Amino acid sequence: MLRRWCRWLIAMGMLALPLMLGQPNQLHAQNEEPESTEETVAPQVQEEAESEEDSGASDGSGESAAAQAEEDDALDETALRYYARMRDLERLEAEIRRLRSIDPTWQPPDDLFNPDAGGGFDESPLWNLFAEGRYAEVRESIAELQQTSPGYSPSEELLEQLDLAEAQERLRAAAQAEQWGRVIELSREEPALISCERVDNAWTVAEAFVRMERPNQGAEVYRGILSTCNDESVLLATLQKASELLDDERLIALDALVERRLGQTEEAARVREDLRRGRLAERLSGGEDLAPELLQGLQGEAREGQDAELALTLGWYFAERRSWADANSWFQAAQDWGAGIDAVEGRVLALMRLGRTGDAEALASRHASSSPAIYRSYIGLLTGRLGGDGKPVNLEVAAKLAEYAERNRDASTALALGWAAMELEEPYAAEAWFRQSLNWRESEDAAVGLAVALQQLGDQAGFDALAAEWAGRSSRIAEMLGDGGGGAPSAAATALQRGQIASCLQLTSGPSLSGGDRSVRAWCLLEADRSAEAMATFQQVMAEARDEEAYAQASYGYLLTLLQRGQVDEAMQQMHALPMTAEQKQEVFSQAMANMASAAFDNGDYQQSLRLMEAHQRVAPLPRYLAELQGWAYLNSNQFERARTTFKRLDQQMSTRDTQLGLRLLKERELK
Amino acid sequence: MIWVKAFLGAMVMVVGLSAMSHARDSLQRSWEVFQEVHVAADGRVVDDGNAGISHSESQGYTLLLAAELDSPGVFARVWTWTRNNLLIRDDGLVAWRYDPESQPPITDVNNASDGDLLIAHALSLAAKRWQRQDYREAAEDLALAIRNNLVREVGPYTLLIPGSEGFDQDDGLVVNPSYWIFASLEEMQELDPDPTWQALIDSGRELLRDLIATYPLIPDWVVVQADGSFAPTEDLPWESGYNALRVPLYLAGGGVEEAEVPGAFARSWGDEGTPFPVIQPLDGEAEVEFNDDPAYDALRQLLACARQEQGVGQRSLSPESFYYPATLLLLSNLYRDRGFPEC
Repeated sequence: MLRRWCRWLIAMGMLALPLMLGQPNQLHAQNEEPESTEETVAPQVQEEAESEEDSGASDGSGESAAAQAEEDDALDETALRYYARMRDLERLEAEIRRLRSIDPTWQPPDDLFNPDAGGGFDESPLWNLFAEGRYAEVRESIAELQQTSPGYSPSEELLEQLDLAEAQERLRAAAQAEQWGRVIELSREEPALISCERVDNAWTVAEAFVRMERPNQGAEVYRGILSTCNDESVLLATLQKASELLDDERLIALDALVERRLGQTEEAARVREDLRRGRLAERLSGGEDLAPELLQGLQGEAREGQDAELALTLGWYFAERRSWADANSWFQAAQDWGAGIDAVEGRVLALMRLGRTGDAEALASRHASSSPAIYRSYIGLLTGRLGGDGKPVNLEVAAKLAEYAERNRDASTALALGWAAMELEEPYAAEAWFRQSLNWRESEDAAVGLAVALQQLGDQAGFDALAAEWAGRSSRIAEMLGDGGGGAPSAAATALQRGQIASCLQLTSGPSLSGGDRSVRAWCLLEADRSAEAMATFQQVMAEARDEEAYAQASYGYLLTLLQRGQVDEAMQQMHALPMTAEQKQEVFSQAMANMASAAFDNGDYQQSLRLMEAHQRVAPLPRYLAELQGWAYLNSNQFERARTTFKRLDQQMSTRDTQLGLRLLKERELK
Repeated sequence: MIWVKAFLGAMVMVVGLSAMSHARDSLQRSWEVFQEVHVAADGRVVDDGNAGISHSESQGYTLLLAAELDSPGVFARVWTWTRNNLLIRDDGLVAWRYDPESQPPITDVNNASDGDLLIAHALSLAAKRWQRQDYREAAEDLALAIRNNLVREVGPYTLLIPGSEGFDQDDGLVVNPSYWIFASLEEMQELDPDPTWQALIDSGRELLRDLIATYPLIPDWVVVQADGSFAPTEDLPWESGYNALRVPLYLAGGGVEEAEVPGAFARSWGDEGTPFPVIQPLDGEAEVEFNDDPAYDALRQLLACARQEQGVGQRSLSPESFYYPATLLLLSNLYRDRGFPEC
């Protein structure tokens, strides 16, 4: 009765069976049973008992206390002696006061600080060391005493406490080193490690089972805690721990147990709700589907509380799983319950994916001004209906798009409108849109469009000015110059400019081609990754070139083709024979290398990427972004020393997220 | 990666002329100096030449010395720390590297087989000396873990894997010849009667004979290939260094006669009182590295006693010596007192 403490053992044999610590009420009965082995009770627990007794005494129940004292004429001094050994004077005094409140005539024993333990030896110095956590020195003293005083043997209590304290250290060290098998073994060797007072040990053992891929046993340990311990915060923290490691099914069972134990307290309801929602949020970007039970529960919860936020999360959960009808319903619900523009974004997307483009466009047009995402969807939907590319242009749509493009200074919409105007054979309008697009955001696509429009208009001066600005940056515009500049481009050249490679190849497939169109074909072949043919064609163009410039352009294409084929060394040699200025060569070549190195990196071919960067470095230093990429390529191909040198140098020049991350990963690897 | 010792800074020479008699007292005094300087109150043995880390080897040497020199208190203290902090591996072996500056402090959970052997040896001796069943059980557990996890047949040899991870190669095994601590292997055989131990002892002797027939000195690390031939390792230095200089000591400690090996070392070590060649490259390019810690003289003196030379002095331990040479001095003097009491 005095001590209400719950200490439960996980004898590991028990783990295979359902834990014998079953129902809470049975456990209660067990706890109240006095037991002589309870000498090792941890101080915290006694503290609880103590405060209860204190409050009992202050309630004026002195009579019943006196009656009790009469019943047991010897008061239980175990705790008193424990505190004395631990030199915990504060608790010792409290315990003396407590015992006096039970029996005012009681006197503390004389030998409190010199207990006649351990066969007549004063163990106090050992207990002092123990209290300071100096367990190795306690063992040393015991060994020395045993040698110098053959009669000495340490008290059972000291050994028990020492075993437990040391096992605690070992458990912590093994868990830190992720030696999960050892963690489990240690918990079997010293069952007292696992108790409600040392609940973090139980968590560690549960984790060990899960890490060893024995999740059922892990769940049993959590279940043991949840069935046995009584402190609400312990139960809820245990549920949170379990949720980090267990799958939905096992967690649902534990959650139900917590509900049975705690009922609907405010704190429990909050924690359990957070857990369920956290689990939903975790699956938003993929992962396994939520267990049906959990998902249904959350849906019910959302409906019941008309919970806009939860409905929105559910909408995204279904969107991630391409369940667009469900997603649409939940976004709709979220919108109805006040989730605002976020819900509309989701709905527009869901409607588009459901093929309900009319509904999507209508909804998007109402909200386009309130959200960039909806605006983009709306423009996308409109552009889809704009026409062009062989289909008739929808003028009504074009007018709407024009309005939006103007209002939002939207370069890509202006570009689409430019090409639509070309389709409508309105090159003046087209020129205006391409220029607008370039104004709002410079892009090669818009420059190419503008060049085509200017050629169509016969505006040689305008074309020349544009070409002077862009030829060095745009192979497509350079190619238009090679075409003889100013003359109307051939159909094939236009197709190349617009990126319609298939039709370019078709248009240039005949046996007799003009020099210009053969060159166009070579570029299209290169674009189409048909590098062997591209190489032969560029060589032919070079052989037939009438002027330096045409030769130089074709050489450049030839060079790029070699690079695309990975013939870096050959390209390096050939470059010296090409009719370009040294500066051009360097720029063109390093640019080509940079592009190819990035592409190789993206393909996961780090060796090739590194070779290309090395080739780049032979003519010019790497630009910053490429140098960082080099660091990652070294790291990914296990050349750690080089990766470290690279990241360190870059980090000293300018510390960025990449350099920091690279260095941290290397450091972590080193520690492992 | 298993530890390659680096000794920083020059030693202050403290030359205490050694006592000619009272060898036993001298050893006891040296042992007290060692405890004072190198064993922390919590039972951790600090490798001051190696940035203050600890390892299974330093714990093992100290346990062995405590058992040999009848110090049950020190033994209990050092064993408690070792058990609570390093004996945490799933397979029952000992994590080898502990850095108090790191969190968690175990910075490499791999084992080092010589550390495991030393600890098991010490536990077995301690169990007999002080009738401790708990020490005996721990020794048996560790012996079994060594035998089950760290023995590999390669070519004609039964080899000791230096650590459970990182030493396998496609065409053989990287070994450390100085991990054959013959006295420890003998003790294991007595503790755990199994033919594996004798096979390890026999192979260790054969390995040393074959190595000294192939190279001028015993290398720290060498690859034993599937056909039984040797090769330098890919990433460890090709040298006879801080590891291998223990080989003659272990031969003397185990009472093993392989005269060629100590002979080669004795010739390369030079005269007493001069700096000791701690790293002798085997590729002929790099220079020999010397260490002027006088404790290394104890190794020379042990070999001189074995050659039955007259008037050999005896170094006692200076508190200035680093942990590693200090350990070698204690073991050298222990084996000398025991094997050549008249020296």
